[in-house]
Amino acid sequence: MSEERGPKPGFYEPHEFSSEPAAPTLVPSLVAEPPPPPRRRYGRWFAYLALAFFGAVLAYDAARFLWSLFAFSFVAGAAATALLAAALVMGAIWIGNEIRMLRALDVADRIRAATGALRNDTGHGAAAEWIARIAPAVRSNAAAREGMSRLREMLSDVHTNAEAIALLEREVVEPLDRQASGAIARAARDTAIGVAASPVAILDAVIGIVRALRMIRAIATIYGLRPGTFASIRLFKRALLDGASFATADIAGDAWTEVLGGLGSRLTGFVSARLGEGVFAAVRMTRLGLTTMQACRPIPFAGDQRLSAMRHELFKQSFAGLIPGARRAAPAETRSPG
Amino acid sequence: MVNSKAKQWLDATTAFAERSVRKAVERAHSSHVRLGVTGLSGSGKTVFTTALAHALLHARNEPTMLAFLGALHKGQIVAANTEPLPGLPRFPVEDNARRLASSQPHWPEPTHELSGVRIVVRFRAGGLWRNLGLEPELRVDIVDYPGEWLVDLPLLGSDYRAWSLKTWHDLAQGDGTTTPGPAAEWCASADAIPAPSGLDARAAEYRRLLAQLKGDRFGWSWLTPGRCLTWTEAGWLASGCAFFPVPPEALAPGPLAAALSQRYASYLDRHVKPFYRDHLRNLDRQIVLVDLLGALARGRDSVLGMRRALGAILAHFRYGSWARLLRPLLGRRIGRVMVAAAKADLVTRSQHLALRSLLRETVQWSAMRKLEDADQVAQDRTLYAIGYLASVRSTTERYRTEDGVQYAGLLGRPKGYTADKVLRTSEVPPALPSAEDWPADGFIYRQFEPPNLSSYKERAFPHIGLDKAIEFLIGDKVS
Repeated sequence: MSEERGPKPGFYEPHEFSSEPAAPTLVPSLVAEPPPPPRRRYGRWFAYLALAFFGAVLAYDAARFLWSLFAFSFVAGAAATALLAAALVMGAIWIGNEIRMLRALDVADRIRAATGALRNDTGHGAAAEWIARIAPAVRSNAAAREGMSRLREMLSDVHTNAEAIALLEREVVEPLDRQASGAIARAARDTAIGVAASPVAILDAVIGIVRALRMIRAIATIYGLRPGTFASIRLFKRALLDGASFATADIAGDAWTEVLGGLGSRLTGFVSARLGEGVFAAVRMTRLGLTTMQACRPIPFAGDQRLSAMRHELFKQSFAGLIPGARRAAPAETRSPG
Repeated sequence: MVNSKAKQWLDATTAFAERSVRKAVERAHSSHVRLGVTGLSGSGKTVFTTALAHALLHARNEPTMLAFLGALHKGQIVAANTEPLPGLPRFPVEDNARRLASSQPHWPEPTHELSGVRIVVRFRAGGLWRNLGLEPELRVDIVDYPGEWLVDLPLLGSDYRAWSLKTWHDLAQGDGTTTPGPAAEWCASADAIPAPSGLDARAAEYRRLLAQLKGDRFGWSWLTPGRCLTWTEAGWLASGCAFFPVPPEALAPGPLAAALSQRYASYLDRHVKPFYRDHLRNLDRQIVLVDLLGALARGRDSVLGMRRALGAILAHFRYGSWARLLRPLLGRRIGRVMVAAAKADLVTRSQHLALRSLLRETVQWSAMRKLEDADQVAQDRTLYAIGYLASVRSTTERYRTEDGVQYAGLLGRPKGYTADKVLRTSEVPPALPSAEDWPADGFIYRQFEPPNLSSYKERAFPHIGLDKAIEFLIGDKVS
């Protein structure tokens, strides 16, 4: 038996103890992510230097242009300078905003790492701190706001961190998952129809990329990230890679048509290939949507089982969209009155 | 006119057919669960049954009180009510709940007689039936009985001679540890081998000894016959089956051994067997409540005795679930069993993990040792869970910081006190300490009176882990 520390076992008067626990210390290992492996970023340095050079050229040209305007007319020079100053100020605000959004993505990454670590933690208190950090991000979403208020009522001091994270997932994150699934199902359906109807490969790629960009932004917004342009670009990286595969599918579809055409049913081959491309594009879009969800969710998915459940949900939603009247059977917000 | 009558008849027939089909499908989806609430005397069976019934009855009023009851949060639970169990006095759910939620709350009285309650939960069917709006029922039957009755189960597998030898040995030698004084004195008394006319007097002495050993100091809750303590002394002697152990030399064939054997057999036939056959043999689900903290506070002998009693008792339950169609032929078996450390509110939350760990060690020594054999688990198709719970939470935590370290205590009104106090409890050992490592002052855990629950008349009482227990035990039947 270890020697017991602190106040000896026995009775004390209530005033000798306080009702509020000290804030739990967030274990640094939960917060810090492993450092990325060192890389030599020659390409990035080349881009920065090239950007600086061409920026200097533009600045020099702009200064010469303003100087010449002042030489021509003071009023014209002053007006152009004011215009440039306004543009620069707006640009600074925009860049500041973008940086803030990018930082929000970093914070979201940290939150995800922490909640993932707490998923199996039997301690107490830390999960409540992280939940308090998540709350402001999802405040604008009605379903999540309602879930968060239910969660606050449910959480008790005896719930372990793992239990608190499980409740957070059920009450707050799963309603958001359902909304995100809807966004993915819509995007997949649009892409399938668009790709099936488009006559050329390049149009497939454009349709895929544009719809993927919109879907990614919608999903990120659902999870409270509200990404700006640069933050979106970070999320879009994968979208661009996926966009390339739409064109590949088109070429593969042509090959399939050739085979069927050789058998004498060119029209059937053409139709089936177009449909096949559409379905392929929809599946890629769904996979991209799930990847985006994984990147935006405040709690990481727990293993493949969870992902397969989400896929099931997605296919159910897509199915509900195809059959008239079936949408009513899709998961609704059925909740008993409080 | 004729058309109108025909139409009315057609409508009525259609409505009747629809009702009948709906009722038939609902009946097919309804289920009936016999939930066994198992535990030694003082483990909290009555409070658990009251809290469970009260929680389900008022679940919809405030679902947040039962955070882990999945069906409730999917909006599937529509209504709940209680009914008496056929052939048994009604378990007083409402009275017990009213007493707990009164301005001067107190725990339900210990159970002395058999009683039962059926909790009927109406729920919305899920899956393909969701759109038809079906509302099948789940009927949960719970029988409440004195914990003392349970310790008699091991008698079913033995005769008087074997029982007497073993019990005499335990009383005279102790449980391999220390021997409580009164037991040794009783064994050494001059009338250890009574004359035929002195049987009742010796039986009365034995009953008084059991009452003494069951007290807080020793807590030998496994001593048998358990029923004699739930009856008055006169009632026990008048029952015609008042038996007691005798020294091994008195077991030779003769009038004394014959008379005691006859009383023993009569006790089994009239009391133990019917109770086991009617209320314990055909269970579907089971929760085993273990008052580990109480046993720890009483001492090491008490924990060892409880471990031994649990082992002997649990061996009489039938685990493993048959396919549904085979159940009527082969009898029911327990498909889900939860072993829970009861009264988890008597320690701070930081101790719960150790409490569960100690419980795991305790049940692995008992009948649940087969859990160690993974093949056995797969074969008997029973789901086992180990946890901790407080059916009604009687304490809240308070904190104190010393030298930068925060320590927690329990605020509540301890039994025997009129005002609230903060109790610093001992740390729960994750494994049973050896006799040498046992703390000199023992383990300090105290019982508390229930808190003011007057605002919980229409919603589940505050608890620890009750919702998880309900979800595990019957959650699959209402979703």
